[in-house]
Amino acid sequence: MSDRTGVVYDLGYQPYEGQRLGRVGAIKAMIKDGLRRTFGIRRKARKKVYPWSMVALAFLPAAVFVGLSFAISSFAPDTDSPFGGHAEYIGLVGTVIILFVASAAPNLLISDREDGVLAVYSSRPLTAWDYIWGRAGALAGVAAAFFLLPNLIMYVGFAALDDRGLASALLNNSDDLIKVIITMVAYVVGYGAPALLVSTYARRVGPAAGTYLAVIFISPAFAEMFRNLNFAGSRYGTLISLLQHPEVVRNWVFERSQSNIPMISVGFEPWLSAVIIGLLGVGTVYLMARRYRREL
Amino acid sequence: MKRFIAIVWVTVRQTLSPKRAIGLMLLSGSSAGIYLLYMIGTRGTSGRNVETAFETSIGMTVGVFMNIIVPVVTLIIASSVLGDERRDNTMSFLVLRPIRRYTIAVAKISAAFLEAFLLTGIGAAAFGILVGIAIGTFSYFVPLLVGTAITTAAYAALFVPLGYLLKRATLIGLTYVFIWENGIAAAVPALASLSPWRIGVSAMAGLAPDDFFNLVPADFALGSLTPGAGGALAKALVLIALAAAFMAAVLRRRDLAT
Amino acid sequence: MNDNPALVADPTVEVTGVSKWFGQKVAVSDVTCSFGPGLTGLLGPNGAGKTTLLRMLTGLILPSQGEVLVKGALPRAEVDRFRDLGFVPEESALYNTLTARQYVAYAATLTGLDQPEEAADIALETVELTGDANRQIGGFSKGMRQRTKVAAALVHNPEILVLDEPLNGTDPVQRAHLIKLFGKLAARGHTLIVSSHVLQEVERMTDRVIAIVDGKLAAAGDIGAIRRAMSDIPYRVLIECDKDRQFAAALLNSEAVYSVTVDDSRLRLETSDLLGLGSLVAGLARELDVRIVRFAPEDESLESVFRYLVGGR
Repeated sequence: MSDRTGVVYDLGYQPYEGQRLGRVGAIKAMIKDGLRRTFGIRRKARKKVYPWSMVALAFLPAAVFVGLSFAISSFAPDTDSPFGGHAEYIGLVGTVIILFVASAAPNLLISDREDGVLAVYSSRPLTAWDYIWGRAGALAGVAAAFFLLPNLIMYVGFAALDDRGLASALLNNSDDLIKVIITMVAYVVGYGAPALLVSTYARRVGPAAGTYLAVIFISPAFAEMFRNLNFAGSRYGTLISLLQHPEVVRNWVFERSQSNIPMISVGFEPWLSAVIIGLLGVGTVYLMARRYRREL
Repeated sequence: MKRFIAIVWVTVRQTLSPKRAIGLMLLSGSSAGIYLLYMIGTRGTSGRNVETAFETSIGMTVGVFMNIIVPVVTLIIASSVLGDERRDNTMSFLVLRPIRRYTIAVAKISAAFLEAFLLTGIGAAAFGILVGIAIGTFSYFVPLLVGTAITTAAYAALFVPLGYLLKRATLIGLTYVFIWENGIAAAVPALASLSPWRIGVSAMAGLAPDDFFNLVPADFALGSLTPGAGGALAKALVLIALAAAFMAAVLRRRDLAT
Repeated sequence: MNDNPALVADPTVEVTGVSKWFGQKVAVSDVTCSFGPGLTGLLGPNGAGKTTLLRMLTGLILPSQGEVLVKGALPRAEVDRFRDLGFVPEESALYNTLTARQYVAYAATLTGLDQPEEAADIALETVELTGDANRQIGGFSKGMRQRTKVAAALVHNPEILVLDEPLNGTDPVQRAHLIKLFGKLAARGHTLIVSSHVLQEVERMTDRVIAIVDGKLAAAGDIGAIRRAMSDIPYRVLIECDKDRQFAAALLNSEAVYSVTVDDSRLRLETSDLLGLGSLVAGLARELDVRIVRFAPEDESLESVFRYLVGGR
């Protein structure tokens, strides 16, 4: 009898036997995909230009001024830099966040509808809420990073230069960090929510970005108009300035003057801006849920 | 002529959907809406008289309507008349026809102007009527309409090629409006002649009675431009001709499909 | 007499040394061929460069190198030349807010026809869309959209028709109708260039094909002649007969037969000499008293030729 042996391996369908991460894993995957999309990672070079330019715009000034502070002993950041402190730097970053989310939010939401991939999502164990939190989470995470990280660079950098020593300075200035975080929430929701709302209903990426920017930058002009018109009820018109509500919260938290802001000059309290931002966030999530529950 | 009209008609049908028309009409009519609220709110009060009502209307005209609303409405329309054809892959249908490229370009710019002016014109007319009622004379109605028409035409000429050439045309157009026109050109009067809305305001100032010109914040709203409808119209026509020639050259020389 | 099968004697469209690149990607590389009255099939796998070539023929895009002449002139030389051209693109190219009648009438108007509505009605009747002519294109099925595009391309009775995947999305009945229509137009002397993946239908429409693989001209001319030119690939022949095994054994003795497979009274042979095989089979059948039910080459079809061209043999 021959002692030659042989075996045939079945290379047909082999079921997946690995770990199944469940809904949390699915949401994390969506956030990861969202981050890749917004930063153009694993995409063509020209898709990276705009987002990374925004990153440079947000981070470089902080890095430069901290660097200058280290390099030049006579350089005093609170007097020599145009960003005397966190509050002023937040003003710069706020503009960058607006420009960034104007492009990022439509790319996150509209591309899925344009490419017809919502059907793919709906065939997975993902609910509409998972989709919403995944996409909103990606946008919020990026906007928060834009906001927080440069301020952290400044916070730690200037603390390192402090005569009291790093640890003491970090501790003593910790309320600054808390203020930055509170303001961050206002900016992320205040600017991110309208972008998501426009992108939920717009058909194309370009016009969505344009509509969002138009609304954000036109609304202060209308608010100013209402301030100047001075008729019964006109003061309520000053509340439509979407650009300025996060600024009001910033000024409130950092105890800065607000007299140039229409809604404050007509007598509204700063906490109203926080309420409006909160309502904007809740309203956006509600409308997104209404839209996407139909599709997913 | 038949072909020209056909292109204009189909372009208007394709780009002005009911949703978009309503949204842009609301934007365009917002000045009138706010002025109406002002009129109702100050009725019978000492806070309003002919002078204050007139000043308020000028402030709204050059502070919001002409410099923001008209360019934004026109941008959204104009950037889509050729841009959408390219993105929807209907360029081949249009360009593989025995029609001069210049005719196609002019037809598209005309369509953009007609659509945009339908919206901005209604907004201007509503605003103008309310101002006329408030100040007791309608001598600013026609200047406002003419100024709006010239501004719309100039922006249409600028934004149609932009919409064809660039995917992010709306973003770039807004940057142009908010940063260049309302930022840089506002600070440098000599650059006013490059600002379509200021050209429109100069037309208004040329047609309106003198007190309009006296009250207009000249540095911001006119820069180095002198009032005159003829000059403004000429500038707008030059812009349209240049834009059409540019688009025709693009349609003749470049690849029309990707 | 034309020695080069890629060229026709009386061309309406001439392609000479044409290449097209997009950045680093070469889509079409040094293609020389011509098209004349009748129907020519343009074949190639996905990404071969067919659509790019067709776009260059219409003037939609410009060659990076080389020249395309349509009736002796560059496609974009004068806009009036577009009166002689009808194009059915692969992509949508439809205005969803228009009805089919409005769309085709628009095409007729843009081409300068005097009575665009009447011309549109005739074109829509030709593609059997009269019943749906007043429906918005946005609500059409894929096949209906395709037929609308064909109607718009035909409305002005162009001399040259360039069709990129015109049968996409059509059902078998619609497909048969369109193929018949293209055949009629070709017979009337129009120049039709049809790109398609539906090889059986291209085979029904025409004997002349231009095959593009990886942007290069891979084959041109009559389908059968192309197959015969692939002399390094043995022919596959199917023979149905009684006494299959006995016959198979006899055939194997011949040098012209490379291999024989027997499968339930069917023999599949590979041979280098198709013509010689015919005589051999007839002789052996008489000698062995074998009844031949069927004798058919299996790979003279366009599909087989295409597979050889693309599959790298």
